Amino acid sequence: MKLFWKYLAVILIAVILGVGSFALTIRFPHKVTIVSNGAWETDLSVGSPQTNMYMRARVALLGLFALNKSEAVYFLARKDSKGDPLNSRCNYRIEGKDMPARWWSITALGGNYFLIPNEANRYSCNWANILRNPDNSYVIKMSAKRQEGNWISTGTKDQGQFNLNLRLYKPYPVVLGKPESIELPRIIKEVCQ
Amino acid sequence: MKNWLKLSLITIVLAVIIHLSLVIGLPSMVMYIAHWKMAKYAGGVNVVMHSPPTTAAHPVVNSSPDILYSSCAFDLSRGPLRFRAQVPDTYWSISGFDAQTNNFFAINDEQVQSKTLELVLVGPNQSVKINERAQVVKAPSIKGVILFRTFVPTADKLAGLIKTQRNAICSPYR
Repeated sequence: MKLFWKYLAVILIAVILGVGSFALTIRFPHKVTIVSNGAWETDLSVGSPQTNMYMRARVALLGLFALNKSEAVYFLARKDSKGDPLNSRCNYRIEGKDMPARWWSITALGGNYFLIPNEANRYSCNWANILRNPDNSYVIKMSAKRQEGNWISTGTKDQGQFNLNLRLYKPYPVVLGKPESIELPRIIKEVCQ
Repeated sequence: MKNWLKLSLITIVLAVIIHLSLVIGLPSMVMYIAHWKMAKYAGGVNVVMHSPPTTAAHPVVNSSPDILYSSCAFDLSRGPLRFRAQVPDTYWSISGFDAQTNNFFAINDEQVQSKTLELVLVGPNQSVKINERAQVVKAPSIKGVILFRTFVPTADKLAGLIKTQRNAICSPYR
């Protein structure tokens, strides 16, 4: 009987360690293949059969049906440009210019990487529908409360942490060659409640 | 002490096995479930399902609200399949995902010479003789998913693009 409890404990601890370490590698992917650019991160091996097994598992869970880099490059931001986690209690401003791709979009995602439910159905801004300044730059406001102009909803204030997904479709060669050097939008925190 | 060391070693080996099983097996498992769900909603395999504009209710993680999706859970066990779609005047693509979630091909609107895409999908050990102008793509697995993406640039274009989206079909290639 004593032996039974011993082996049961071994199995339970092994399951906790195995599942826990797996969850950690998904949540905090290995930095070797990840490229950072300001608040944004990307992995150009996403979607490719040559990607490593950890990235494949991560994509299966968080970005199923991601295209390979010749068709689309995906940048993810979990923090603002100062390094603070994005949180729906705060209002943000995204400032940027057109990016080197045939078209692009910026989408807000919840902590579970699904779209954030909101009554206005405002989940994203894209290359075609964005309102630009005379110098072709743009500002996107992000908040729980609706705003005029370019606005992405962050759901309700108690939504908590959220993420941003920047998609570059048909990226230009510079994106594939030097993703760390292209000019990507800045994410600026304004007021928090 | 010896017994304690033995139990620790067994625990670590078991934990490593569980960890690696999850890492290696998860993509196939996720794809199996996605394939099964898509086939269920479409009314079977090898049927194109046209999704409405993406909202928070969309069942696929990290999907784009700027894109109209059509999907087909394919099964090539009975032979090659033909895909036909009208290509709109906006970004459009057809892409294939194997049983491991890998994106094994993508063709976009700029790569289609006429306004209609004709594509024949064949399995890993299948071949096909075609007499028409169609692209042939070899799938690395018998089962997988084909996805059509149509970029909706502005809301006023939506109705017209939905009309075009609904022309995409999948049928057995004879």
